[in-house]
Amino acid sequence: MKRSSWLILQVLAAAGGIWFGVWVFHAVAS
Amino acid sequence: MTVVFLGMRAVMAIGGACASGGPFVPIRPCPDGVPILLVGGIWIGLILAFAYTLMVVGTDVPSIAGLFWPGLFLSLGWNFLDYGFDPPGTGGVAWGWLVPGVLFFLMGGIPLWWVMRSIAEPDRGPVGTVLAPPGGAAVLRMVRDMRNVRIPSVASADLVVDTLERLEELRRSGAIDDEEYERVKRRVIGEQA
Repeated sequence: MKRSSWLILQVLAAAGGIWFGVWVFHAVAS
Repeated sequence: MTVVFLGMRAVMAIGGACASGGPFVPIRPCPDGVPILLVGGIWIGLILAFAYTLMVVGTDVPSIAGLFWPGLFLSLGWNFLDYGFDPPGTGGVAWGWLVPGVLFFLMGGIPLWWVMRSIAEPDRGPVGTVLAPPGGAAVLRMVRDMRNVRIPSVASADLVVDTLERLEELRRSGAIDDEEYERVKRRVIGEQA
């Protein structure tokens, strides 16, 4: 896999992580 | 990091401190779920960051590990500045929050500048990590060396030479034939490689 592909994959994963963090926070905190 | 960022905002929105549990009724109870989110977010974040770095170091996969530190300090510094300029309730400016805000921005911003520089000049950065933190090359070398350590089953090269010499004598005396000699020789040398 090309290095640029790895970087794009990881940036997408990081964006997904942020989305997941927001979702977890709003699910647990009130 | 997202959970810690949001948890910190939730605590700052009610004045910057809270407590829960214990024999006393706290004046400012924590928002529900925020203590567990903050503690859990910090620890799980540390563990995952460590695991990610360990996995990516020593491969040729570019890593974003160099952004962890700047990301954490810049986002939390943003919270300090945001609530420092506009503290909840009182109005005015909360200097007690502005000072850590500026400090956090420096602690996150200067490493970020380093990281950006290593992207701009990839030749100067460590191999295989596009977004490596300062000192990343040294850590990379150390981990690679640790991975490359081989424990030889035969203690030293001298022992191999001695064994081969004795084997040669056995063949000459006829105790073992050529095929056996070759087989044992390959094993002795193979164990060392």
